[in-house]
Amino acid sequence: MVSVDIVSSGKSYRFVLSPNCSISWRELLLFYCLTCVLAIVIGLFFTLQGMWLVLPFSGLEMLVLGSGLYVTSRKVYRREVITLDPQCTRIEKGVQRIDQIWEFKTAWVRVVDECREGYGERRTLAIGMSGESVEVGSFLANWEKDALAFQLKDCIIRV
Amino acid sequence: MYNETTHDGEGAHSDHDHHGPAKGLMRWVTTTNHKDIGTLYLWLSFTMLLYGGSMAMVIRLELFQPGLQWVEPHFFNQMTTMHGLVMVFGAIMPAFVGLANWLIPMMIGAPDMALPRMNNWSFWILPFAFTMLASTTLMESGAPAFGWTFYAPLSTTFAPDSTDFFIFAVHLMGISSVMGAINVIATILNMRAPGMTLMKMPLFVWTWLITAYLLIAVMPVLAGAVTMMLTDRHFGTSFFDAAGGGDPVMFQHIFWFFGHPEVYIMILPAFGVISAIIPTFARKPLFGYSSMVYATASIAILSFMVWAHHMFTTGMPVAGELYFMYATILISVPTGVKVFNWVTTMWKGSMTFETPMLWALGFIVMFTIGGLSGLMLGVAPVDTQYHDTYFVVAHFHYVLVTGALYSIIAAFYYWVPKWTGHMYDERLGKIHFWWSTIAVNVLFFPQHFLGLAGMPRRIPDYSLQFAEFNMISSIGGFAFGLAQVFFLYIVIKTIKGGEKATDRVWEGATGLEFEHLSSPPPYHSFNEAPPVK
Repeated sequence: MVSVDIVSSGKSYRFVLSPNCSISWRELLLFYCLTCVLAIVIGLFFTLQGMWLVLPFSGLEMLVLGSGLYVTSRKVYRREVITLDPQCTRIEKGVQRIDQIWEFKTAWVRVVDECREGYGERRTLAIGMSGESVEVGSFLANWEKDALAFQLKDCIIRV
Repeated sequence: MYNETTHDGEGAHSDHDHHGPAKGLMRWVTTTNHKDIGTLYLWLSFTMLLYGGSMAMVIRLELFQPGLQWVEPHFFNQMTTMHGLVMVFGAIMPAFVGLANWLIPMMIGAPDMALPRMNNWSFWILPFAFTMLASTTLMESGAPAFGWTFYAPLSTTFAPDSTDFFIFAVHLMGISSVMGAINVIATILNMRAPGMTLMKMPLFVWTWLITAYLLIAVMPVLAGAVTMMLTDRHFGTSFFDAAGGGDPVMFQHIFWFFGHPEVYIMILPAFGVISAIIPTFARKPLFGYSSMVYATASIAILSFMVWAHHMFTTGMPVAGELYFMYATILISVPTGVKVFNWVTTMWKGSMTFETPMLWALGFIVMFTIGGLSGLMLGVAPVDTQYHDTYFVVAHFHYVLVTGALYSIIAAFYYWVPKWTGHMYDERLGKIHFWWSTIAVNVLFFPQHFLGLAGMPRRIPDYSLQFAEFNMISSIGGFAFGLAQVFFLYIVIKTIKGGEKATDRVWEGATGLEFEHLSSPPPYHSFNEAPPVK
């Protein structure tokens, strides 16, 4: 569900959080290309028999399939990067580019780890200060949040 | 210091994933929840089963005795056509999509389907499509009467005006199916829980992945076929009109290139259901999991290569007949692997025979009967005699009723305690099984003899020599129809209440939905990915 990369250079740490993705981009692309080849072969086969109206539908369908796969895989290419250094704690969120950035003074920052009741137990992990907080790793499993909270607290003490 | 550079609406603590279902009718209209949409699909399917079934009752009533008793021949043909279309596109396919919606996310540890809004659209297109199709019965020209295979020129040059509504309805059904298939593929490929590798997926998920792929491959062919029908009818083209240089036989090729994989679209998910039920009640892991996956894939690949076995009597070169005959017979190998694996799973198992197991066993025995008659029909010289007789009707009803429909009913009894949190009434479930099984064999088995004796399909009247078997068949038909009304009672009774189901439901049940979710599961299952062993 997550790959937490801790990049330790001197006194700074970086955590890269990413949601679970059960197929790589490369594999997905291969799957899509093979499906396109099959659809085009079928479409061309009928076109050669004079039934050319199959081909536009094949093309349209491949367009929709490609869009569907792209939209879904885009969701799983979401990243959250937490950088801790002695002065500043920086949280960046985005998909293939930085969409949101938050910055806190590391000396005042704290990790909030709470459990919510509701439709199934769900833990939330947040980083913040002075009543403001940003949820991180919402896509992580509870045990991953536990581990991340422990590591974050440990690193905040170190820096 | 707090500095938020950009903010695009995501709150620091979002609560969006903690809400329950909306209230009232709008819950069902606007829902994007996979369980709600699964439920909608299953109810639509049941409604269509009863609607298509009522048309079957008209057919069996007319055939109860020789001579024209109740309906005009043209109306009889409308009934056979609409019955086939409604059952294939309205009852069987949506039922499996409903099961996919309910089960795939829970089986792979995903929170929902990958494209929830598209999921909503793909369902809500269907009621409009079927209303449009059903409305043709009330039109002046009557409903389409050219058979569910809508061969040209019956569906072009000689078709009633209502055919345009049929064409549009088929387009809508196709759009819905394609969107559903894309959703299934995107969900299975992208959203499996960590550790859920492809070869650890439940067989039901595998069979649906392959089914979705088949749908993607063949739906443009169907869309192209009906569009060419439309242009032949109204825009002066001659794709299927020999007078304009077209080829009506080509229509049969194009239809069956879609139609034969369509048969597997309706049966592969059934294999997945049975592969889930048998190990549970045999209390043994499925025998030969990998071979089941490869057999499913083989069946899917072969399904593209055998379409012309439906057309042996249209006239084709002997080499063509031989190729299609051998390719068809080849399908019995992976299908045989499946039946062998189910039987071997049961071998020396601690078997119990609760209702889902009875329906699954009924499936294995009677689907095999349908498979064997299919093998007979795949042999070109034999098919020349049986073609367009009641033998064919018996064959595909054994495949689609005692095959596909039985697996859907088995799936209902197997998973309904998980869905509703209530156990169904075991005694009523068993009565339903035995009532249906006796009735369905009284209904369809004599049709083999009728076909062998030469009774053609799609006729409202027949020679006196066929009278007894037709009467027996009709009695079986009425009994089977009534059994499904009884099933409706069981469904409603189970939803309304019953003994509380445990989370695991069945002693031998395995899988994420039984091991990690309560009965009933929360509205949003798997807020976090479950561990997969």
